[in-house]
Amino acid sequence: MTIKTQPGFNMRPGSVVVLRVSPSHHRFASALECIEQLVKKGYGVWVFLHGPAVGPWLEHMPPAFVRWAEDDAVTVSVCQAAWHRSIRDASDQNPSGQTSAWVYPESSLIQMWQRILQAERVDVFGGGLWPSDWPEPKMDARGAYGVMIAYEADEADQLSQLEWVLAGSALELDLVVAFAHPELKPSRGPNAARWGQLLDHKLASVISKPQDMPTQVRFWMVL
Amino acid sequence: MSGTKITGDPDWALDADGHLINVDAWTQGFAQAIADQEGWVLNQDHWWLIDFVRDYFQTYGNPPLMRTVIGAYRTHKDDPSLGSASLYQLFSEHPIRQACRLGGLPKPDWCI
Repeated sequence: MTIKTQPGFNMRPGSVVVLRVSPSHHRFASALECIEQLVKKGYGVWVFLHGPAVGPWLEHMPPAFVRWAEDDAVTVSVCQAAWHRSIRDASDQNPSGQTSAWVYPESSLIQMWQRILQAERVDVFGGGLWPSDWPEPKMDARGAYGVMIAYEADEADQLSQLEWVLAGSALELDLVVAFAHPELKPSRGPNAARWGQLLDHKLASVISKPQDMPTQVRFWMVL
Repeated sequence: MSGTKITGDPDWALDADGHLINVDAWTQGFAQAIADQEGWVLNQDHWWLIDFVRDYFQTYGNPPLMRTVIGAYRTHKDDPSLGSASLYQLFSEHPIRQACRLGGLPKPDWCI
């Protein structure tokens, strides 16, 4: 199998597709369809697997991933932190198990953000959809980057969402984090303290009411 | 480096990345022992950085971002002109990661 280390970004307009669901989630198929459509439209697509998309299922590559490994238009990359945690967790459960046969390149969340900043188009397939009780977003190139937390995540997933935000903040981007409903904001346990650093250290704006939605946002990424 | 120890305390066993396995065994003596091994001379600013990273980790569960440390360091030194270069003068490679190591904290398992 040919393993690409560089996407076809130099020849094609760049697109980023972030996949944050596993194959069992109904949005997984939508993401694959989106990638196929982007390729047909002439995009070079950098696919980043993050959070819940990273798990043991990656050992058995879906046919589309195998096909894309031979396609210069698509590069699949996995979040290195999530992947190493997945390996560690699998090793803890089965210490004598086989080592990983993973062949896709690993990338950091910093690299994901850098790709996003350069891309002409960004699509995020996570567990949430834009909340119906929030106004339809309007894009404005002068605004911040918006991250909408739109579903109830488990503890590990909450951490992956926070790391997404912190990586953008590490690049000193202007960020606004919206919780679709106040109860989605971690309020107890270690994750509540972790999320607290965003406000304590002015790393991002945090809102949880539609009326607080900023008028100027470059684009929203719905996780 | 897995299984190695730093001289001075029987609990100072290190993991494969050279970080203290038993975080509760940390003392300033551990940081000094690591520094001695590396040939580093710790001054007040090194200790400020180690303490800041330890406090941040204990509050939030992860090390601070570089931008956060820079902001706090400017306040600490009362010098708004300071930037990341001033932290790299303390530790020439990965200053926050080194502060984690000397501070008895685990190696960050993320890439930020």
